[in-house]
Amino acid sequence: MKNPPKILLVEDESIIAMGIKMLLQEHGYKLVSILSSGEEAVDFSIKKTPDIILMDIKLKGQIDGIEASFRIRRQSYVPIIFLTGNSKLVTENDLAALKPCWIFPKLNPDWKLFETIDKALHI
Amino acid sequence: MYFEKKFFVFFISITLLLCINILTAFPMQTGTLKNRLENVSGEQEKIEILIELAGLYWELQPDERIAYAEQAVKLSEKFRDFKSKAEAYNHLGVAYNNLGNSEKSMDYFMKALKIMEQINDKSGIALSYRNIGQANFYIGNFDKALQDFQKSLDIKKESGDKKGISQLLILIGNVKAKTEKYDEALGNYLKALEIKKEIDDRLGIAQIYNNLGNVYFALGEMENVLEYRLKALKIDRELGNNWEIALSSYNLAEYYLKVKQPEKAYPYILESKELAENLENKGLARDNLGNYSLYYEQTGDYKKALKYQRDYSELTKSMFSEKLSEKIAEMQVKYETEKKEKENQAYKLQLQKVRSHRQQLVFILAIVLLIGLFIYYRYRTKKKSALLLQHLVNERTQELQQKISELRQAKDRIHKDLKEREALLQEIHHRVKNNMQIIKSMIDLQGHEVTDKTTLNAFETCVNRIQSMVLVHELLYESSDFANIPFKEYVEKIAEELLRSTARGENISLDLKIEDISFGIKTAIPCGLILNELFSNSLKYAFPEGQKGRIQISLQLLKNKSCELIFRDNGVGIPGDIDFDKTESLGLYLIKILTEQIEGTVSMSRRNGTMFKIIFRNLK
Repeated sequence: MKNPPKILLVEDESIIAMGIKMLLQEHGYKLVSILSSGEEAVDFSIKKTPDIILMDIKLKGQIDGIEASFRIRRQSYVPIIFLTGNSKLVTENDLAALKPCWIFPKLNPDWKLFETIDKALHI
Repeated sequence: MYFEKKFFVFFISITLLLCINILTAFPMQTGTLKNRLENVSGEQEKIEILIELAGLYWELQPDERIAYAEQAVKLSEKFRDFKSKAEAYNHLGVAYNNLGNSEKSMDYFMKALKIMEQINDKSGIALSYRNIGQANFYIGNFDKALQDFQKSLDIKKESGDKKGISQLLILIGNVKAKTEKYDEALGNYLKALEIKKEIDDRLGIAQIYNNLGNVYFALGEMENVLEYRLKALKIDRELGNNWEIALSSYNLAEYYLKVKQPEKAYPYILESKELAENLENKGLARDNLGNYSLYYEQTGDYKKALKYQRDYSELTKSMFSEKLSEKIAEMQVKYETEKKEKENQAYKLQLQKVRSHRQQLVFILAIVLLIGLFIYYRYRTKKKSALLLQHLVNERTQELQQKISELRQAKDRIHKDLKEREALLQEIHHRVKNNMQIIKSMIDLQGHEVTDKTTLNAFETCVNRIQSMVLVHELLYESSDFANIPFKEYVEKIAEELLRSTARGENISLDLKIEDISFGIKTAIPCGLILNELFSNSLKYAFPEGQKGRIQISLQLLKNKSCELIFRDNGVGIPGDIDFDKTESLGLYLIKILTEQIEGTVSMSRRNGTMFKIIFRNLK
């Protein structure tokens, strides 16, 4: 895979983050950073312009993944994939307003994640 | 001639009486009064002094008295002091009477009467009637005089003024004597004498003696005349009253002329004449002229007798005429009519007053009624508003009570909900714990099928990690507080579980120094996992071949509110080639990332075994 896409992972559980990182690495993707708070994510997105963001909803800090996404959207149209065990946390309105974005349920098979990442990257 | 003489004797005694009555109770020296008049500051006092001066019949000449009285009239008018004005009028009346001006005299007496009646001054009215009576008597209106005196006497009797009564009895006696009712005259005089003696009025007694003498003179009982007249003169001389002396002297002269003893009469005529002239009493002076005429007639000097007779007649003519008497009578009639009209008017006025009083009463009643109604209305309104207020308060109280009960119900409901949620949470923690236990058991079971030691080791490690998480949920569902995990208990359970599962409890002594701190689940689980890694690592590598050892775990709260977790073993120590940052060991890597997750730092030391120090914050 030439020029692997710069993937940003925003996840506050370090072991889960480590698991996702290893999974992505095994499939040839590379994480440019793992961040645990929404504020860091907003800051990083603006400065380092990742190609895609994998965003957890519940995070450390004052803002959650959705609020962080809205803030990122003011500056960038980077595709965002929400990683969540509970899809109800993101409303239809949020999804419409934050396009391009997707929801990826954490319990889905791994290959579905890569499919979603590829879809997001090829818009 | 005789008649005329007798008449003037009466006149003189009348004039005297009139004067005496007005005399002030506390006579004052003329000089003192005049001084006071000059230095007086209060106008009211000035009026009083002026009136006193106007009443000084014996000390002052009529003209001077008139001047003072007129001043008093002006001042009392200015200050609307009616009584003083009337008193001044009386003095003016007396003064003009003394001057022989009957018209003016009567006019002033009537003016005084009018005022006294207006201000309803009983004693003043009595005095005025007396003065008028005397004026009437003087001009020969005896019936009228008698009426006036009677009116005055009635008032005096009402007030019980003994001196006044006695004086009036004398005056009435005079009228009776004048109208030749001598018995009645004597009766009146004797009654008066009794009172005079009772009140020890020596001057009055002397007067009565003179009058008794006059009556006896008229009756021709000459011994009595001499006796009384001498008695009178004696008292007068004792009292030193010039006027009285003049009068009594005149009377004695008259007596001696009557009994034809002119030589005895002469000194008395002389004395009386001189005193009368000094006192400027025209009446007495004229009467003495009459006596001179008689004296000269009896001593045979007819020329002189005629001359005195002429002088006498001229003076008489100048003093009063017949017209005067008519005029005065007319005046009195006019006054009476006026008075009746006044009375009618007063009656009408009174009627009007009564009417207006009635109207006022009705008006006041109406106002009182209105005020009463108003107060009643206010009271009603207040009562109403109080009731309304009470009602509102009651309503509001009810509302509030309802709200309170609603709130209480809501609170109960919330409390109930909370209890349910707590139960649910407890249930969930229990379920999570159970599920994790199942996972652990499944991995355990799976491990039994594995023969490869490395793989089995990995299975065991995995099971231990899951176990340390299970313990958190176990503590959470056991405790009443779902937010905080008591760290000491947690560490104890982890250590106990690891020693049990690895069967190392006998060789390893445990030293725990954990401060009483509770952590939230976000801190407790990473910490538990870190400890699990450190403890497992020690048990696996620090004490090879069942070697005995000691593990110390301490946790203390630092001053900056950070927590310091120290894990120490006195084992063989971690190999020197292991680099914490570039480790391939999953255990150490986990320690590293979990410490980062709780925003802490980790340091390692190899002295006397291995020591890890983790400083972190309790994440809420």
